[in-house]
Order: sequence, then C-alpha cells, then structure tokens
Amino acid sequence: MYVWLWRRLPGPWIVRVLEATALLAAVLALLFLVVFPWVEPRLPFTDVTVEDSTTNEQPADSVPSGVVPQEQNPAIVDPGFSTSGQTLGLGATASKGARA
Amino acid sequence: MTQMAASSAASHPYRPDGPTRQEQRAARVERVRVAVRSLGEGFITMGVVLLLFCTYQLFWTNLSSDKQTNTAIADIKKAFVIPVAPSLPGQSTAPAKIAYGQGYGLIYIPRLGSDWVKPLIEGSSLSNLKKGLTHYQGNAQPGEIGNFAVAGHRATNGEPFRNLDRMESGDLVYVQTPESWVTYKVNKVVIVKPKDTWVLNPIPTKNPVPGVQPTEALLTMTTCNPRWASYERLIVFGKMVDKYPKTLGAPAAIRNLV
Repeated sequence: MYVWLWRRLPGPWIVRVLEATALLAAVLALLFLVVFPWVEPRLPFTDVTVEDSTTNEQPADSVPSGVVPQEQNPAIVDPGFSTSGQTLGLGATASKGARA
Repeated sequence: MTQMAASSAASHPYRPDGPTRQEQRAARVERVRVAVRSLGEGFITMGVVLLLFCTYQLFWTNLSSDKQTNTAIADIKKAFVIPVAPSLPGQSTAPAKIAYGQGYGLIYIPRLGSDWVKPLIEGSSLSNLKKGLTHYQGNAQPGEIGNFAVAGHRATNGEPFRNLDRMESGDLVYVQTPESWVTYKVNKVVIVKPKDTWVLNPIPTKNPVPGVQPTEALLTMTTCNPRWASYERLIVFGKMVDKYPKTLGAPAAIRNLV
C-alpha cells in the first residue's frame, strides 16, 4: 500500500519526501479536526450530565426543547444582601434533565 | 526470481509460449505477498490511528479546552469590572436573563487545588462543557432558593471535575457572580445512575413529597463515574452558607486568586 503510494508520487527522491510529508499532514489534520471530534461524543467520556432520555439524539448545541421556561417572576432579589442572603425565587422550579 | 526470469528470457527471447510455469508460480506468490503486506500495513495504520485518537483525547482536547477556559475566565473577569447598574425605584430588580452559552460567573473550589478556578457557563451542552462548568439551564442560579446545579467533565476536555471524588462534607465552594459572592458547603457525595434526574430537583430527594416548596439554596455538582466510563454519575450536594455583595471583597480563603 505504502510502496504503491511511494511509486505513484512524482518527482525525484527529495520531492517525494516533501509530498509524502504533505500528505501525512493532510491526513492528520483530517483526523484531528474532523474525524476525532465526530467520534468523541459517541464515546462515554463526555457523559457528565444526568438526563431523562436514553439517547442523545439532540444536537449538542441546540437549546434543549424540554426546558420549562422560568416563571415570569423568577426572583425577588433581596435588596439588602443580608448575610442570610437568600432570594425568594421560584426560578428554581427546575426542569428535569436540562440537557436531554 | 530475477535470475529465473533472465534465464527464461535468454532461452525464449520473444516468449512465444508466454510466461513459464515457474514464472506464473512466482507471480502468484508475489500477489499473495503483496496482499499479506497490505493487510499488515492496514493493521499497523489502524493501530497508529487509535494511538493518535488517544493523543487527541488525552492531550489535544485538554489543550484546546484550557485555551477556551482561560478565554472564558478573562472575559468573565472583564465583565465583572463593569459595575452593575443600580436599579431605579419602580424598576424590575429581576436580573437580566442569561444567554445560552454565556459565561457569567466563576467557581472556586480549594479542595480541588489551591488555584482551582473555573468559569460558569449557562447551559450544559457539549460545546459549553469544553469551556468549563456548565449550569443546568432552568435550575436556580447561584444564591437563589432552589438547586443551583452544574456539570463538568471528569476526563478529557479540560477535565475540571477530574478530582471531584475528593470532595468531602464540609468542603466549601465559592461562586462569584456579577453581583455577589455565594458560598456553599458540601454535605453529601453520592453515586447515582445517569437517569437519576431527581438530583437536579429544587429539593433533591429520591421520593419528593408533593406540595412542599423549596426553602433552601442548594448546590448540585454532577460528573461522570467511573472516570473513564459513563454508567454512573458522581454527585456532590451542598447547601448555601453565605451570600454577600461583591463589593465586600472575596472570601479570605481565595482572596489571592481573585
């Protein structure tokens, strides 16, 4: 396979070395920039969220459709920032599985 | 082989009978040799590609994530310098909605490293997770009543939560938002199944009592478990112990990092 490729490369020896290096660089770029990023989400290392759905059909970057919008009056901020400091918020009504 | 070819060529210069039997045999052997060699080269190539993939996962993703994390931290710090406009009387005091993918806070966890600081990004998509810790969209924000839930990578892509298993009850988690400093104290570390979304609930219990309203500001941090697999999730729970305006300065434990 590689012998065949070497024979196919045109030019004298030194030019062939350069051509082979360029080919190798192109293949590496293709792997690191296209193939590996595509494979990565299909492996388990990136699963760090708890989720409802069993599959990851959703494109990673889309805003999850299942998210319940926050209530209209999400938080009445405690103006004094007392150290007990809690805000009265119902914004916390969490939707399950933010990234489904 | 060449000798053989040469001798047969000498005796039959114009080769009226085509290649000899020996030559045919030699050509067959050569074909098999090329096939076996190509197969071997193919296997070696696959092995090299797999090694390259390991390199990609173990080094490349971390390098690219570190860059994104540092950019995000710098952007957030820049935004912190801009003073938050004081709300006029009668104006709504509700904070502006945070955009998906926006970095809006910094999280400090001394247990994970004396200089451990990561950006807080809204929405836990894969691209956001590459930048730092991500807030589960829809959950409470830092300091609010309810459950402030974040996710982070444990392996590859910057791996901010690489050592999250070292967290113990009593450890402090500091969150800096544009307005305030919020401190959570860890009170429980558990391992659950990936579908156990109850850990994100405003009151994170397995069997919630219906009708009970949340009264506390809680923290949930999620990552994968075991580190290189995904069949479980490591969960760290905490409870807010302090919150005060940013203008009062950083908590003493992390003052040198801010």
